[in-house]
Amino acid sequence: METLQNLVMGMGLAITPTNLLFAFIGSLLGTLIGVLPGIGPLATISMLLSLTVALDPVTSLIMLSAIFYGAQYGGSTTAILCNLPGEATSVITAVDGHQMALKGRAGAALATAALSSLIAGCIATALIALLAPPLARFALNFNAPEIFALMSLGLLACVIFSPGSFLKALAMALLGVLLGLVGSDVETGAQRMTLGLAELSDGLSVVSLAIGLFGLNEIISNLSRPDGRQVATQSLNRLWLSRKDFGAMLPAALRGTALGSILGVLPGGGMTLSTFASYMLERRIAKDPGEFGQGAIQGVAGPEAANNAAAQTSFIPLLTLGIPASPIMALLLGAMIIQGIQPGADVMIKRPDLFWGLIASMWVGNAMLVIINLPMIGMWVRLLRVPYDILFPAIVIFCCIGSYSIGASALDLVIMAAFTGVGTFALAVGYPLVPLLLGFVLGPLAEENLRRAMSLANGDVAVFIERPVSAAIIAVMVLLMLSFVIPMLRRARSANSEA
Amino acid sequence: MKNSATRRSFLRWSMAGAAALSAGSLRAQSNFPNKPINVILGFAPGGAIDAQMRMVAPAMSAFLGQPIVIDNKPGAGGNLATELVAKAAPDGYTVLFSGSSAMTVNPATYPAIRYDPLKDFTHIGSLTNTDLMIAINADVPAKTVREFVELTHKDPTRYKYGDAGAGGSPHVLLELFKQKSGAKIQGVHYRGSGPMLPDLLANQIQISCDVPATFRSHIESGKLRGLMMVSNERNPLFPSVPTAAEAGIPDMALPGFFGFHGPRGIPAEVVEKLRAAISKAQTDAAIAEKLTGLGLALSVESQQSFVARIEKNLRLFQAVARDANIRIE
Amino acid sequence: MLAVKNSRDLVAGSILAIVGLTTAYLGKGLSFGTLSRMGSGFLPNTLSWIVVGLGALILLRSLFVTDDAPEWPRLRPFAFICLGPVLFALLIGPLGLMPTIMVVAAFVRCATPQKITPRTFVFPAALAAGCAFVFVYLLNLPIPLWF
Repeated sequence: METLQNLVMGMGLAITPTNLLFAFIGSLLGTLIGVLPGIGPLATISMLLSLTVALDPVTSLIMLSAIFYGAQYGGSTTAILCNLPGEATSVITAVDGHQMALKGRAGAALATAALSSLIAGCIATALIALLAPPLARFALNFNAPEIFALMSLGLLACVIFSPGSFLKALAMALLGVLLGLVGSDVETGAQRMTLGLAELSDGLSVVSLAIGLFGLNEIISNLSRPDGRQVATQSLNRLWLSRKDFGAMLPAALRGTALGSILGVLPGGGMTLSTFASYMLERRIAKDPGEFGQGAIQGVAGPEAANNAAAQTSFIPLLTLGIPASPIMALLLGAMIIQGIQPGADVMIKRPDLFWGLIASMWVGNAMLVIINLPMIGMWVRLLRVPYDILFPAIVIFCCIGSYSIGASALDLVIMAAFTGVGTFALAVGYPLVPLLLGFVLGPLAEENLRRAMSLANGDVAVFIERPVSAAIIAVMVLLMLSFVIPMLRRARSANSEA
Repeated sequence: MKNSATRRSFLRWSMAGAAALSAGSLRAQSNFPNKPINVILGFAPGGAIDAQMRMVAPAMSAFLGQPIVIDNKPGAGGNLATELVAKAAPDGYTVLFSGSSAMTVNPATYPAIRYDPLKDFTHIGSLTNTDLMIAINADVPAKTVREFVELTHKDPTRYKYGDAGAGGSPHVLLELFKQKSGAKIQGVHYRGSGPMLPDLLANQIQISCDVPATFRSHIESGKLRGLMMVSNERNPLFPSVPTAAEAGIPDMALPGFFGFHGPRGIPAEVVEKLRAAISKAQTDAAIAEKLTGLGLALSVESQQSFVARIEKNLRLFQAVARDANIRIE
Repeated sequence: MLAVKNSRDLVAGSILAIVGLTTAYLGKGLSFGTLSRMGSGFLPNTLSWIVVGLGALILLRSLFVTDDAPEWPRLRPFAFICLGPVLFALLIGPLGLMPTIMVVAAFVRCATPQKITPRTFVFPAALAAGCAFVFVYLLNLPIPLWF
């Protein structure tokens, strides 16, 4: 009951004209920077920090948060239209989303992304309102051993469910981890594999990597086809979802929401992991897994919902404990400090206006995002009709600016070019790229937590099976391995008996 | 491969140098500032350094009559930004705002560092003082430093400390604490206080050292317990937490500070102008309230005492880093 | 007598092994540590050698399993698209955003055979103007427009 009263109070704050206006500005700006590759919410929010000092604390947080979750909406657009993931979280959306676009279903793919995000955003926000403190306590059970186990599970599942050769997928995942380790080591500060370049001490930029591997690579393979890029344009005008699409989309979006809501609360790579986890789950339970990679609507709905749900629930540790679970949340924490608000376990009690106003504004913002995005689908889809010899140089330029804008570093551009080459080579000889990227994102976290877990346990490996949560995760890993190995052995045996 | 940003700034500097030569540098200095001032920060937005700078920037800018451009250049524990400022033109338009670690701790823990904190800088002035605090998880059955040390002797592998980064102030201070108190604890390092705090709350690490703001609400809610201040004065926000001397470790009072530094050779009148801007910001009641709300104390001291403090703390941290063999390559 | 049954795995395996050896070489000076105090080189070294092993396995596979030949892209688009960002990196410092975009856009367009038409000149200029508007005026990115 009290929650309801608080929500009504928060809603009252969220729909004041000023707050509505800034939620709208934030959503719009978020969509724009989400659509553009490279310039992410991190850079945008840091640039706006000084400006927001002049605003009321609630208003400024409403706007900065709207930029963050607005960017999650926008990110899927370029992923679907150009196979260009501007961030790690939209990599998996590009896989089936772009296939849908090539088959003339870009409108359906974009609508699926927007609707799944809306569903996820609304449900996850309700979860924050109802269950923030218990969820935050649950997240505190995830310490070094659990995080390591979870990251390993994510990588293992990605390798196993990757189409094609298991060996090659595993090799790419491990290579991704190695690339992720470039930079200075958290425990000792040692410079690892940096070739003596000071600019590499903070590691390779994930944006340069993702753009090179997927976006620019796609252009090369399009231009290499003898008949040029093929987009089925006959059905481009159909923008909305059919009843059948809707039936496939909704359950996937709900499952994605559940996964994303849980993983989003956890520290570190929760958001990226949730998109991959949702994709693998959809593929696992699909009646026709062969459809995945060819434009399965569930492969867009699940990850997009997971991404947006995780984006919302990642606010929970910040709002209930003052703990920033990601760099973006650290920025929002900074925004609160600048406003003179002490983030911590008591924000909910000391500043209920801030807490409930922000939550209510998340619903308002999500609704606005759909209103902003749905009419734009028609415009985006028309983009596919732009002659390719105009479109592709423009994409290359956007990628360059995006990659350069992050650190004004020429090296980032060279890295992007290098990974375009890596991606082209890998595809030519049958190495999958998705495990490489997931390894890159999750690897450093897994390593950090592995070493921390071993330090805290004085080198006792048993710590991973003594703690219930990590033991459960490891059990799932074993089951996953068995479900992969047993059918393989059975096939081998039947092949032998036939021979 | 050379960074184009540095190349561009180099161009800008050499042009600035040429302009100063032709126009006569004395006149240019007397009407300082006549263009925006760049304040370089060694850390990304979201931390204590960035937050403080953004709190004081409007007041300083109003006093100086020129915009203040905050330029976050994170990397290598803040050392990239410090090196950049050390090599900048000493005209007062490029200054560093940093925590005391940039001048007193990092030069001791990073042997490969490429600046000399005593020779390469004009130390302009400090803005705030911050006494770090040592806190433990409330489930650890110890109320005082002495009890905690005894506990660690009963089970010498059980207790771990965590800090916000290898080679930073908390790391070195915790090693110093270990030496002075004889506690048997092993260190684990994190990427900032944000990732460290959950492990402290979950009793994965038992003891930590950080700015009081990190621990504040969790001490109030009873999840953590303040053990001692790394200072000779109690903190008004935590009146019950003893000072280092009261806790039985008298020579561990090392107040940290946040302050402004420029490259060596900034003209005295420019330094005075910048110092006046700092004290203008300190006397603004709204800003002062925000700063003290973070558990910081306003620092008012002469330039000489600022420089002397840097030198003294540097020597001390060098000794600790040597004894504890803290080396970040 | 063993014969190579697929050149795809031959190339894939050998390059992978070389990459693994390279990372092993780069991580050579890092300390390995112990189980309770893993050094900075623990994972880089272990993983590098596993990668080398996987490369060897994939090489072996090329002797026993038949597979398609590698599907190489055409050299022309590959070269222009890869070199585009490098050119951008070289020019952005000395030239600023507008000239860089014009040059790189014109360069990248050569990834496909082009006839010289008005579009050849109008397009890069229009793109540069559009980018300047969106990135510098709208988003306020700190990139100088001109040198």
